Order: sequence, then structure tokens, then C-alpha cells
Amino acid sequence: MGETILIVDDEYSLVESLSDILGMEGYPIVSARNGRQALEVLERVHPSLLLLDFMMPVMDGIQLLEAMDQKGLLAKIPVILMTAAPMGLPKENRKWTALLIKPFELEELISLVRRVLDTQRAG
Amino acid sequence: MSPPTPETLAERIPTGIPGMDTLLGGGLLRAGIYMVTGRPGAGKTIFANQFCFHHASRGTNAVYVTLLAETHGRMLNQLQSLAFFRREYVGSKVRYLSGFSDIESDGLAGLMRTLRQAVRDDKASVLVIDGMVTAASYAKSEVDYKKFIHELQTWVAMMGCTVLILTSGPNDGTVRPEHTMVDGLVELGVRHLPPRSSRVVRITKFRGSGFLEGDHLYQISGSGLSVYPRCEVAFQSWVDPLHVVSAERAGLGNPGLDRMLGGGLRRGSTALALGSSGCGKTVLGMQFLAEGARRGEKTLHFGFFETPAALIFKGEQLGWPLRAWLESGHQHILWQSPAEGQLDLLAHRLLTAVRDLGIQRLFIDGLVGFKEAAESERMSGYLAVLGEVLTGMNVTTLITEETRQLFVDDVHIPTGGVSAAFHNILFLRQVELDAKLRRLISVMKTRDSIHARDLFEFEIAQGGLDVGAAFSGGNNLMKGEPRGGTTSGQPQVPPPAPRRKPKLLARPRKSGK
Repeated sequence: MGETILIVDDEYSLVESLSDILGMEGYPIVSARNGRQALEVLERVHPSLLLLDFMMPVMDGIQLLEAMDQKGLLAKIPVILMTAAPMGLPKENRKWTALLIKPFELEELISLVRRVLDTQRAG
Repeated sequence: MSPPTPETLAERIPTGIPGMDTLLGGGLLRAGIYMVTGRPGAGKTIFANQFCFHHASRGTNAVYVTLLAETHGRMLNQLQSLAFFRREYVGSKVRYLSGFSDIESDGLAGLMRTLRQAVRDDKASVLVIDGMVTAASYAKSEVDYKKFIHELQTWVAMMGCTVLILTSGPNDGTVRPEHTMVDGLVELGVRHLPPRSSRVVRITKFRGSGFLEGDHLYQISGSGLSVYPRCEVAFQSWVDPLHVVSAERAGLGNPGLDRMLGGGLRRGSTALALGSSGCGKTVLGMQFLAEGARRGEKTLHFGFFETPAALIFKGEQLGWPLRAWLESGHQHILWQSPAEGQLDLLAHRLLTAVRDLGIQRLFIDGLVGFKEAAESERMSGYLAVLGEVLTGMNVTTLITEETRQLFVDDVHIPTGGVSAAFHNILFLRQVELDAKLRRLISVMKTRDSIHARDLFEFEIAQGGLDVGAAFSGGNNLMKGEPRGGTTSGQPQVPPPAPRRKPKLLARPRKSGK
């Protein structure tokens, strides 16, 4: 069984595409459409990596990071934050492990996922 | 999430279709989805395959997925006669798949799976979906169909894959749901100008890029599809508004002719030689080129009527070694059938030849060849751009135009509104004097230059036009009806009839009244 990845994005087509690509790479995938759904998933699943969108309805990526931090989950789960608007991100107290600017391409995504997981395993 | 912005997808993907990338400002944008529409027979399949094979020739892979379109065997059979086709790419760099069974069993979701897998497996940077009408018919709703395209968009953005969707349609301006989703729309259609029909391509949408709007001619030949962007816009970038006007003169090979023009035609200028049939216009043009070839310049005869063989014969009769000049590259002949002409195609052939051959002197025989190919309202703008481009390239140009009648009251340029496009206008006439036809030439206009105001008699002999002294044989000569002429050409007491100065007029447009 590979390392599970949780994808959190309100964009259905992106979740589909990411699931397809990372699934083919051998990673089991779970997904959620916003931060609140993701917290519910995290009650049941312990992913090795979280691919998280910044701008989402109900609970956005930064709010989810705050909530995960309070639950002590950030120490265990690395987070790749995905955004098309990096200028809107907070300047301080950055809680994500790596940043992926949208639109990104397949090779960029896969190499970042591998790198973050390798670091996590080593660390 | 925000969709990918055009600025981030700015890498251009050349189509490999000559002229198409000029319309697109350099090519399609990488990872965009483009819809090519047109009636059956418009050339959509050739367009898409040419794109695929061009990519394959650059070392990247393409996937061509058909949905109830023609069979792959039939398609390949028809493609193999086209120059871009490479059998060795089929199945390796260009892979053909049918998506019909997937869409039939699992609808759009099944098709999406096939597309994803094919692109991923082949590491394809180009995907063609041929027969999108079939996919649309399998969508449960309009939203379903739009969702399919949206998913495809997200996917290809990540894969860096550029998609062509081919679909049949009448190009009647109807906006279909998928039109709002795709990144660009290319319409292949037909324009009817009885008795002729022309294939025209039009881009109606191109996200994130400027493009040349309107209809542009395209042709399908053994080379595949070629686009000829409308001359008025395509060559604007060739025009140099700061081009320095040359003071140097291009001689015409006869001292009398050169004297009339203050030393010859100014380099980079355009001249119109106006006159009735048989008055010596073609000989004048050939003489102009012969003088250039003799001086070691590169010259081009761009004609519509006399074939290269006829011109070589004519040149030899007049004492010009055309055959030798053709062999040495000092003269080139491009012959066009006036019946086949397409205005923009002519401009592309002409200007490309001028550029590629490094032409310094150009003779176009005659303007009517362009008129036969033109929509009348375009001629003045077309000739203005053509003239500006040639001037910018420092090409000295002579064009002939035939007046319709031998003897007329006013001197008309048969093509309306074009006199401003020429720096110089020469007028050749035959006049009847003492039961003989005599040839006269005059300069009616030179821009920014001094010219002789007299009429000169000339003979056509070995070496072309031989212009003598100023003619003083009578009045009303320009109208071809001299009064007071002499058999010897010596001045005679003119009759009392008032001399009316000939007017240089554009031919009046038909008002329909």
C-alpha cells in the first residue's frame, strides 16, 4: 500500500485530474472539496501528504492549516499549498511545507510530491 | 481555484501550416483547447494532421482520436499523397485511436479516460479529437458537455498538451455552448464571389493573444493546407515608415527615356505605365529589367499573359539575352494564369519571391491580373500596401495598365482610386498622323522629382523603346486625334481649335443610377 495523498480543492476537474495522475503513480487518493470536509476526512484517514488549495468556499486553505496546527496534525502531515494567486498568501506564519503555483505541469507536480515525501520519510 | 491565465500559457506552438501562424501571432498557445469548425470537405482533417505531423517532425508525439469519423485506414490513404505525411511517424509519433467504443459504453466519462490514458502513455503534446459532434450527442445535458470540456482543459493544462477539437458546422455565427469553453475558434469556410469560390479561414476567438481578424484565403494542395493572410494586414509589418527615400536613379536603358524622367526612375519608387494595347508597355517593362540585368542587378518579370517561352523569344528579338540572364539569376520570370489568380495568393507569391531572390527591379505586367482576382473595393488599399512594401524593400517597380480604348476624350486609369499608389505615371499612346500610327510617350506624374513635360515620339527597335526628341507635330495628341500634324513630324501652324489639356482621372465608379 502506497502513501495516501489527500487532495483538497473545490475545483472538481482538478481533483479528478490530480487523482488520475497521482493514482497512476501508485498513490492512494482521498479527496475533499473544502477545508471543513478535509477535517472530517482527517478524522478517519491519516494521509502521508496533503495537496491543498488556497482559495475555497466554507473553509479555505489557510484556515484549514490553522485548524490542523491546533490539532497537532501539521507535525505529522506535510502540506503542498496550491494557488494561482501567491500574492494573496499571508506574509508571516506560513504553515505549509511547499508551494505549487497554478497552473502547474505534470512533471513539476510529481517531482515536488516525491521530494516532499522523501523529506518526510527521512525526517 | 482560478483557471490558468493566458499569460501563464504564453508559449507558442507553431501549427506547421504556412501562413496560419501569421494569423495567430506566432502559433497556438501551449496547453490550450482550440476548436476547428467547418463543413465536410473544408479541410479540418488535413489541418489537424498537418499540425500533428509538424509536431512529430520536431520530435514530439501526437494522439489523434476519432469518434465516428472516417476510418483510420481511409484517412491515412488520403493523407499519404500530401507532402507533410510521413509513414514512419504513424503509430510511433502520431498514434490514431478510436474513442467511439469508450463513449458508447461509458459516455463522456469513458472518453475522458481514454484521452487521459492516451496522452499520458504517449507523452503526447498534441491531442486531436475528430468528430466532436458525436461526443456532444452522448452528453446528457449541455452542462455535462461543458463539464467534459472543462475537465479536459484542466487535464491538458497539467499535461502541457495542446488540443484541437474538430467539429462540423455551418459557420453561420451560431454560438454553441462549447464555444464559450474553448480557448480559440478557427472557422474553415467558403466565400462565394461568383463565378469563383474561395476557401477562407477566420479566427473568431483566441484567448490571450491578438490575431489577424477577418477572412483569409487558404488553399489545399499537395503540400497540405496553406493560408494566405490578407495582404493589407499581413504585410503591414514589412512596411517601414522611416524608410529613407533614395536619390539614386534606376535607368531604363535609353538616354531619351531617362532624360524624360530626370535620370530614370527613383530607386524604390513604383511607376505605372498606362497605355492602350500594342503601344509598347510590355517592351518598356522588359527594357527596364534588361537594363537592370545588364548592370548586374536582380530582376523579376511577374506577368499574367505572356508565358516565359514567349517572353524569352520576344526578348531575343529585341536583342536581350534573357536565357543567359535567367541562368545567371539576373532575371527571373514568374508567370501566373490570370484565370487562377487569388489576390492574396498573388501578393504572397510576389513578395516572397522578391524577398527570397533579392530582387532590385520588378516588372508587373499588368495590373489587370490583380483586378481579375480582386474584389473591386480592395484594390486601392491592396496596391497601396504592395507599393509601400516594395518601396520599403528598395525595389524599383514598373506596372502596366491597359487603357480600354485607343482614342478617348479623357485619360482614365481604368482601376479606380489607385493613382496615389504610384510615384510615377507614364502614358504611352498611338496617334494617327497622316495615315500612320505613331507612338508617343509622356510623363504625367513623378512624385518629388522633376520630369519633362513634353511628348516624345518613340520607335520600338532592337534594345526596346528608342525615344527621340520632343514631338511638336500638333495638338490634341494625347487624345489620339492630332490637329495640325505633318508627315515629317515638323511643326505646322496649329488650327484655331482650343487645346484642352488631358485630364488624369480615375475611372468613375458605377453608381448604379
